[in-house]
Amino acid sequence: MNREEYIKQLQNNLLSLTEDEKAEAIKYYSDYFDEANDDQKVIEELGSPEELAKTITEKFANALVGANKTKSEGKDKEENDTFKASTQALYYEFSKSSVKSLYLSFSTAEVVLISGSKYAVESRGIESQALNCHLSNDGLLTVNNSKRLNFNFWSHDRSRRVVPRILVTLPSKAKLDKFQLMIGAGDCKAKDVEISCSKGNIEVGAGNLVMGSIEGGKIDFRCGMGNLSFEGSLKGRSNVDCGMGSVKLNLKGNPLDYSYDIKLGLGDFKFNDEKKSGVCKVFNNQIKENHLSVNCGMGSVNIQIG
Amino acid sequence: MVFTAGSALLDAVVLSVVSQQGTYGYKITQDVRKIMDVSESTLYPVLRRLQKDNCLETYDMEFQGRNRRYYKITSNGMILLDKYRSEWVTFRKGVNEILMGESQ
Repeated sequence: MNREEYIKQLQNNLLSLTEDEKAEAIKYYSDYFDEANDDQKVIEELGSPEELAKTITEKFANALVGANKTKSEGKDKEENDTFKASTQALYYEFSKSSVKSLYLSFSTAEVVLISGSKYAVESRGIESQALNCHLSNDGLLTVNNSKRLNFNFWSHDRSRRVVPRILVTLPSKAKLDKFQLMIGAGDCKAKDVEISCSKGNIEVGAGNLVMGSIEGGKIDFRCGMGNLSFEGSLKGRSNVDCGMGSVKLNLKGNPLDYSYDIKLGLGDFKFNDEKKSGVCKVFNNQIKENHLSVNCGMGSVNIQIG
Repeated sequence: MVFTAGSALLDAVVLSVVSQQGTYGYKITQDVRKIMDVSESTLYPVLRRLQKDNCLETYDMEFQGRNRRYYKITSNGMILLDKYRSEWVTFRKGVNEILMGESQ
């Protein structure tokens, strides 16, 4: 690996940082390479870009907890300046064993789901009242920001953009009873999470959602005008509803274990190599153990198994 | 080093290194690593945190045709460093008394 590749990989792994922070970190490490003048030695000393990114983001998370403490001390002062309060970083954390089900619902936000050792929710650019994060007695962790947000996305002096940003950490290989994820107009990336759930519900309005490695039981997908991309496995009967959006499912397993039925409007449908487009209906009497029931208006649904 | 340094001591050492003169990331890392066993990757988060707490400031200055990012200490940082220094004096005295059998 050379310096450019290293910096590029580092950049790709700093998902949870804002653009400014990312640029700051990249500047620091580019400088570091320049000063040291021995790329291979620096790469050896810094460790893999993934590990370095983890150190950077983890330390940031700790710093955020610290920032929260000082926030409560100087509360009176900040209440006068609502904008400042709105850009405060919030941080919540829950142990792996305490959470049994997950309900995530975001209206407009940039959401990143990453893998870690416990459940944690971190936010920037969101008023503390607008983000609801709550763990009920029966283990349902609710995170939503459905209250109206500052849609301006600009700081009061217009000097920088403040996009509401939420970072959710899920423990790797977490087992959940129910997993619900709803995105309104936001952008949600969850490429690296590895979880399993017996029941799921994934909905996208006009946003963009990328999910990786979900081992699911029955999962229902709904996609309005957005973009939904899913990787993992499904068991039992699952529903896929697609309006004008695009749904892409990459499923593990044997194509022969899956059956489907479809109602198609003007859209496109693809099931491995079988293609259908235009108005059609396909019923399937041979329902197998894993079944997908697809309803597609004008969008496109692409299911790849294997 | 057999003794592990906590994060407060690391903060104190970094602040002190920066307080002596405006300096840059790589040099700070080398200076700190002369006396403490910390990995190269931990220094950036420390600098960034101190910067966020308004203890350090950065500025860019040209060096051999490129912009080098320098760190300097702020008045907030000086106050914190003073606090760390007086804490250190007390701590060192206590340790010396017990560990080295020195009594004053």
